[in-house]
Amino acid sequence: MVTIEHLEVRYGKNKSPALAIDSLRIEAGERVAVIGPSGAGKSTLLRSLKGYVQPVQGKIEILGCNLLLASRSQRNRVNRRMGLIYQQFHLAPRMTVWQNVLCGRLGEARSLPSLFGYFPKRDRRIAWEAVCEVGLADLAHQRAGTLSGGEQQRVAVARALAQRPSLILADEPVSSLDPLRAGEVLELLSEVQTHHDTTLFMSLHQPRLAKAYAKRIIGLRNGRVVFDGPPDALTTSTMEGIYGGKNLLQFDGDDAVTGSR
Amino acid sequence: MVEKTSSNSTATMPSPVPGKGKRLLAQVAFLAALMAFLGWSWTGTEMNLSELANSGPRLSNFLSRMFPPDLTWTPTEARPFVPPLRLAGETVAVTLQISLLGTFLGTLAAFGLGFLAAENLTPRWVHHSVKTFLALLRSIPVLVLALLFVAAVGLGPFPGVLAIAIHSIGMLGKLFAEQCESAEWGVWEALDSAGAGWLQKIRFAIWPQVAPQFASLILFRIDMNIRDSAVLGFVGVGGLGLWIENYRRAFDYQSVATMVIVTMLVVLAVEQTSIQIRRRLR
Repeated sequence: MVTIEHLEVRYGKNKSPALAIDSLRIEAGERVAVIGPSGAGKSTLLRSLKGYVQPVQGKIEILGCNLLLASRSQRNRVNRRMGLIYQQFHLAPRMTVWQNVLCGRLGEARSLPSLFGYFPKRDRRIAWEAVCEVGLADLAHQRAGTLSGGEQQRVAVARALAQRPSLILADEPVSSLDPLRAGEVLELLSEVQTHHDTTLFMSLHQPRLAKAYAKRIIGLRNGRVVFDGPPDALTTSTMEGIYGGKNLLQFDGDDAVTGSR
Repeated sequence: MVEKTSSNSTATMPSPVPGKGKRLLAQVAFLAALMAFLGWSWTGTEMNLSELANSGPRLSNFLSRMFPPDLTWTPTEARPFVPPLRLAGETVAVTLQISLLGTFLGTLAAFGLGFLAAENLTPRWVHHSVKTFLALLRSIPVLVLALLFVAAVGLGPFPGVLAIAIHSIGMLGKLFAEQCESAEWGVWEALDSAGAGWLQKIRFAIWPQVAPQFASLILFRIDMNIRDSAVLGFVGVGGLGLWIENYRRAFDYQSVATMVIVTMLVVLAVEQTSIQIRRRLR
C-alpha cells in the first residue's frame, strides 16, 4: 500500500531534517498510529504522503505509484483514493452536512454540473451512505458550523469516506475533542476501517489512545522512526525512548488502556 | 544578607520596557515628519483663517438665496424650468437606475477578476497583472470616465452607467480578492485532497466563506455609486446632479436647495436600507 524509502524532508535551511525515514512499509488493511512528541514529524509524514510536503530526496510509493516521479494526472488519481482528516475538521461551516459530504465526490463528478450543485445519482448515493454510516442522517440538512466538534469531525470522516478511499490519513483527528468525543471518533474510524477494509494511518497525540485503537504503532522522534511494533510492545521504557523523558505521567501502563480491541 | 540579594536582583533586572529609548526617538521623528507634512500642505493650499472668519456675510447671502426651498407644483411663465418637486420622482428614478445597473455590471466583471486577483488562488503572474489592472481602473476619477463616455456615446444616463460600472470594478475587484485571501485555507486543502478542480474549490471552499462579505461590499458600493451618479449630472449624465446643475445655471437657487434636499434624502434612505440588509446578512 505505502512504501517509503530513504525519505528526507527539510524545512528551510534547518540543519536537522524534519523527517528522515530509511524504510517504512504499510500493508493494505493495516490500522497504524504514529505517535511522538510535538515537532517529531508526525504531520510532516502524513502530509508528505499527500504530496503537500516536498521531500529533498527519497521514494514514496502509494498504490503502486511512485509519487515523486509520477505525472500530475497519475498523482491526482492516487490522491483521490486517499481521504484526509484534520484536527480542525476543515468543513465549510455555512454549507450543510450533506453538501460538505458531497464535496468528497468532487474529484469524480463532472466539473460544470457540480458547480451548480448537481451531482449524478451514483455520487449522491455514495455520499448518502457515508452520511448514514457516521450516523448523521438526521442532521444532514443542518449547517456544518452549527454542529458540535465531535459531530463536525464525523462529517469530515463522511466526506473522506465519500471518496471511497483506499487509504484514510487522519492528522491528529481527535486533538481538539474532549476525551469522550475523542473515543467516539476513534471508534468510528476503527469501524470504518474494518468495514471497508481500507488502510487507516493516523497520528495521535496520546499514546494511550494509540494503544487502544491501533494495531501497529510507529514512534517518531526528531523525524526518525524509533519504535515500530504492536501496541503490546509499547512499554514504559520504549515510551521514554520516544518522548525522551522520565516519569511520563500521561502514560500509566496498561491500566489506562480503555476499549482495547 | 537581605540587602545583598535585593541589590543583586536589581542589578539583573531588565529595564521595564526593552528598547524604550529607541522607540521614543522613532516617535519623535514620526511626529516631526507629520508636522512638516501638515505645514507644507497648509501653505500649499493657501489656508487663510481670517478669510474664513470674514466669510459669514457671503455665506449667509448664498444660503438666503436658497431659502426657502422651492416647493411649488405649478409651472410659471417666468421660470425656464419646471418646478423641482415635479421632476423629483423622475430624476431620483434615473439616478437609482444608473447606480443599480452600473453596480450590477461592475460587479459582474469584478466577480471574475476578484478571484483571479487573489494571491492564494492564482499563480503570481496572474494575480499580479490583474491587481495592476484593477489599480489602473481605480486611478481614473469617475468624472473623467463619465466625460470619456459622454464623448463616446452622447449625453444622457447611458454613459453614466458605463462610467459607474468601470469605476466600481477597480474597488470591488480588489476588495473581493482581499476577502478570498483572508478565507480560511483548510477547506481548500481538504477539497484539493478529494480531487476537486480549481473552479470546484472556488465554488465549494472559497465561495461559501466569502459570499456574505461580497454581498455586503456590493451594498456598500451601491451606496457610493448613488452619491457618485448624483455628481455625474454635472458633466451631462442624467439624474439628480444634472438638475442641480440646470437650476444653478438658471440662478434658481431655491430649486437647487430642493434638489439637494431630495438627494440627501435618497442617499440617507439607501444607506439605511443597506445597513439593515447588511445586518441581516451577518
